Amino acid sequence: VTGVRWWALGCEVHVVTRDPAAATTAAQVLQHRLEELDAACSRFRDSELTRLRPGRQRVGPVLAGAIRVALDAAHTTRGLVDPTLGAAMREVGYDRTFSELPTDAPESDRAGRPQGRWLDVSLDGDVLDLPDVELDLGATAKAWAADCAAEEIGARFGDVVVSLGGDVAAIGAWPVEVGDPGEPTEVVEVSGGLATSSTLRRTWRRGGRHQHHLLDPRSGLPARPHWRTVTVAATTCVEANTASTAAVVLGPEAPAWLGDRPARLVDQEQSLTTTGGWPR
Amino acid sequence: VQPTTATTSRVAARDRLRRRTRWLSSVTTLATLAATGAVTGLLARPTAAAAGAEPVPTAAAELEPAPLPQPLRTVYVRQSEPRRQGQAVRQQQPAPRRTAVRAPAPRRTSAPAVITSSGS
Repeated sequence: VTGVRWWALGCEVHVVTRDPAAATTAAQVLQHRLEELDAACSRFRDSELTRLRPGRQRVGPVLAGAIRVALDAAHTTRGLVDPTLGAAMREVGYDRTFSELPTDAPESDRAGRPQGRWLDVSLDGDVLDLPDVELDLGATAKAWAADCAAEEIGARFGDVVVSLGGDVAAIGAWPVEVGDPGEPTEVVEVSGGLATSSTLRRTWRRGGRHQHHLLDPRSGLPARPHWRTVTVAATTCVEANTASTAAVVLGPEAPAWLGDRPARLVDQEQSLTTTGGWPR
Repeated sequence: VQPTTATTSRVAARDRLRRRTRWLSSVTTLATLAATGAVTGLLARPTAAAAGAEPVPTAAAELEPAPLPQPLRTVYVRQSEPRRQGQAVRQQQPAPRRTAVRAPAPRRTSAPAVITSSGS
């Protein structure tokens, strides 16, 4: 078993194959996918996404795919995972690459407006009809890239596991350590998708207040950090990421919403809650 | 022609020898890699110290397409298992709409982790 890891898109990228000879090629396949994704979906550079304007327009296959996945997540969660939070994300201060964010900044009086315009976004094939909103596909695009890359690498080389900042897509069964290093962790065997959403990562201060990157579309502000981390296992990484993000947004209501999805939730007191057959 | 008992025994002995050879090769490979510092542990957690050997997430890393990755670190190496027919290959395209299918719950394992999911 051989693993390769590097940094891209502001997160640690890690790919592991059972066939040692396949690792480097697998990494190249994954990196190619990430470059395509960055060129299409980045909020922080001249990308296809930043060139979008309100109205009808054709979009390329990668951006179309990422928008389709994001809208699907919005439908699945009834808008708890909302791809139209780009402006809200800017207003709370996440307006440049994370490493460029100042340690603190004055609060914006425009922050904190309810969102939820994803229902006005339509995608028909490669034709996007966009209202006057800014898209932020970050919640689901990396998970989708992990799924795509794992499928592609798996078809060529057999069992593989891909992680993009903790969004994991596994072909075959792989042992994965879950949980933040500052809390109790465990190793579970995963096949399919697994994602951990955290209110401890990608945090900054704005107007002297703690901020994190998981916004509640109902308020346009960072979700109340009831949970430190939420990990969900699912058939695909996209499905896992969608559910873990929605669970953070929901806060105390998350276990009931997760239902029979296998999930692991750690609250601020580091108490562990599990759902749906997650091993206790 | 049916194989004789002696033939069967020879085949079984040859198979045993091959398995041992493969195992010894694996051990030798590990020992060699360990001696050369290539094996860095079963799970190399990305600590601050370890990050010194790797690029850190800088603005440039996010803004510019990264070059094709070089293997920065071999996490660990051991003899690969034979690929099981049909197990690894799934459909070419991802299927994000497979929401109706429930994945089997993960199982706790004592195996060393090969990857981490600590949150993003």
